[in-house]
Amino acid sequence: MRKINKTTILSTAYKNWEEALVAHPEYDSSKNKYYYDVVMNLFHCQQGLCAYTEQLLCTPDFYEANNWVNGKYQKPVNWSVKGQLEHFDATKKQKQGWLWDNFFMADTDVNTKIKRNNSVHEILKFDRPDYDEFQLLEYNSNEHIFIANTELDESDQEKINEMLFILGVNHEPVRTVRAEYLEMKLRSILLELDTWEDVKINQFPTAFEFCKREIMNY
Amino acid sequence: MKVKELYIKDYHQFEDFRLDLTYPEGHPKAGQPLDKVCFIGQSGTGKTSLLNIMSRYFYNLHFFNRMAATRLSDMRDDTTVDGISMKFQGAKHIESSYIDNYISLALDGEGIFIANALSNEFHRCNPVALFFPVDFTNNVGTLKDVELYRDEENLFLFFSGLNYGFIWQKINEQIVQYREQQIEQSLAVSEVTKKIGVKSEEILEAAKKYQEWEQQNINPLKDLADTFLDRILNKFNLRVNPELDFKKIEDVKAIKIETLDGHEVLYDFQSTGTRQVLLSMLPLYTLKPNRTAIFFDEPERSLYPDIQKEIVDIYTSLTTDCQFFYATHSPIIASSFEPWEIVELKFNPKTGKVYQELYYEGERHVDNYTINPQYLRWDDILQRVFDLDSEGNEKRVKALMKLATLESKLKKKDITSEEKEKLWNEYLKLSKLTGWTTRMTNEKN
Repeated sequence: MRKINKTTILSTAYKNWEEALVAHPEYDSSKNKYYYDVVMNLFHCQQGLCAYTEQLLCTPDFYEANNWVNGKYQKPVNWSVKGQLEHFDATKKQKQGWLWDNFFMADTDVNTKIKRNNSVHEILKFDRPDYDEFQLLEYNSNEHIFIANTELDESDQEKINEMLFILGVNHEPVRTVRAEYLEMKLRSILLELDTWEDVKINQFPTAFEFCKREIMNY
Repeated sequence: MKVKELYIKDYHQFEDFRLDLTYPEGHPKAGQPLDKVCFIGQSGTGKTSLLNIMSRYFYNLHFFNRMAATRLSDMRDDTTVDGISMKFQGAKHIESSYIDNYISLALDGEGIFIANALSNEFHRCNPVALFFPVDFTNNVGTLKDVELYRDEENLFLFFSGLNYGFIWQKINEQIVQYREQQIEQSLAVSEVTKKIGVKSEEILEAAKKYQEWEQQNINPLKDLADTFLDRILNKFNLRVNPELDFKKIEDVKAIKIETLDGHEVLYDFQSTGTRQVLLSMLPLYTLKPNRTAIFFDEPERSLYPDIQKEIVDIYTSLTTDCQFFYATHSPIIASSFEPWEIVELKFNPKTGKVYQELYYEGERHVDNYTINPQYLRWDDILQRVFDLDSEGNEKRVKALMKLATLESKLKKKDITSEEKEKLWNEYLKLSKLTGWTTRMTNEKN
């Protein structure tokens, strides 16, 4: 849910093909030759996290730039990642099934059990140029729940809260995993076992940043 | 005799499946067979199948044992009788093949004494194995041939084929015997009081003797009620009527259950939970099993959570040095077990075969276990042990988001006192409904 910059294109072979498409072929993940190029370029942009819940799905060794040769991803023998390729707007899947702009990598359970083909509001499309999580969201650090910024007008709050629900951001087990992960990280800092600068956060960075801002009172 | 290891080479969803059923390193009983085992896992993973496989193995083993030798430990290394092959190594490792498959259990201890060494009387024999299938209360009173699943020495008992009246009859033999002795004792007191010119010292002496007899001879019905049954039945507003009045023929046909204010509840009107308790505890009380393998499928059936919390310990207290195998879907039952006593079965999505989810990392040592159901809350057990992926209904997520929104709005300085009061009332109501933890201080601040 932090802003995702999808302008770094490592899978240039795919991107050239996608841009040249007049009509998209039918989406079939198992048949398309660019499937892994899309998946891994997304992980590169999302730094291995689920675009929606920010759970860790893929470790850096698989998505670092040295895995690409001549614009194609070189899948290692021990390749192992979690998650699914997700069409943000499911209505575009049929006619624009390979549209880069509509892709994210997401946690499998969130994709298949919660989001499915539910309609979406662009307000929480995390790669929008004007998207700013700190303007749109609030974080309740006691219960580790994301909500819409209550300073926004009610209509926007409603859309954001609906999206947070559709994207599974506060569903279980995500909320509990996030709570446990962050509580331990925060405790280690407050007990001076770690520092804000050195603490290693490899998932839930947005929630962590909200907690940090709250604790630092800014 | 206790099972130390189970190995299944190939049987339905089990392939090259091995369970270490001993206490891990670092445990005071390290290397010894587990006292109790709890199988959990998604429906279809084979929990009941394991109970069936193991209990049938005992059944086969017993038949072989009866025919072949007096003690397993006396047997040769390799013996095949009646299609059952067994291997005895130092630790009395036994292998058996049946139903065209290959299953083996490593057993600990002296082995099984042959049946002939035991009495044929039901209440005196010590069974090798007892099996309580999931539907054992359904067949009560309907099965005509009680002996159907009993071999002639009563060493293996399928409780699907054992009826309530039969169990009660065996307990009743002890009660009637007690009652006869009680009448005899009270008659002796009566004889003394009837004597002409009897001295008060003589009456006191006779009464004292009667009291001494009562102290030395426990009323079995009262013992059963006080020590075991009433502990549970009281939760159902019921109790055992311990009076040995035998006023009508029905009084000796079944244990008498009454409400706490003294109204009798006949068997046909007892709840399924009451029957579950009676029909599982009465046989254990009667048989007093010792070093027996006891199999229970879904012991939680029809029992409210507060009773589930106790039932495993109660069953254990009714027995001596037995080994229990449970299959359950209940997090509360699972919380009665140490982590190494739980066997969680999972499907391998690639092969469709079942494997055991390990709760430890590295060496199998008590310090390396990362899950302990005895330390977790019930909802945590559901999520962490039973892999439930949500903490409640999906509507709870929306309710919690609403609460977080209300809390945020309540913190704002630019709202009127009327608005604040309205939000506060809404907040209070919803927080009560959701069990929201309203912390006044944030320790992070």
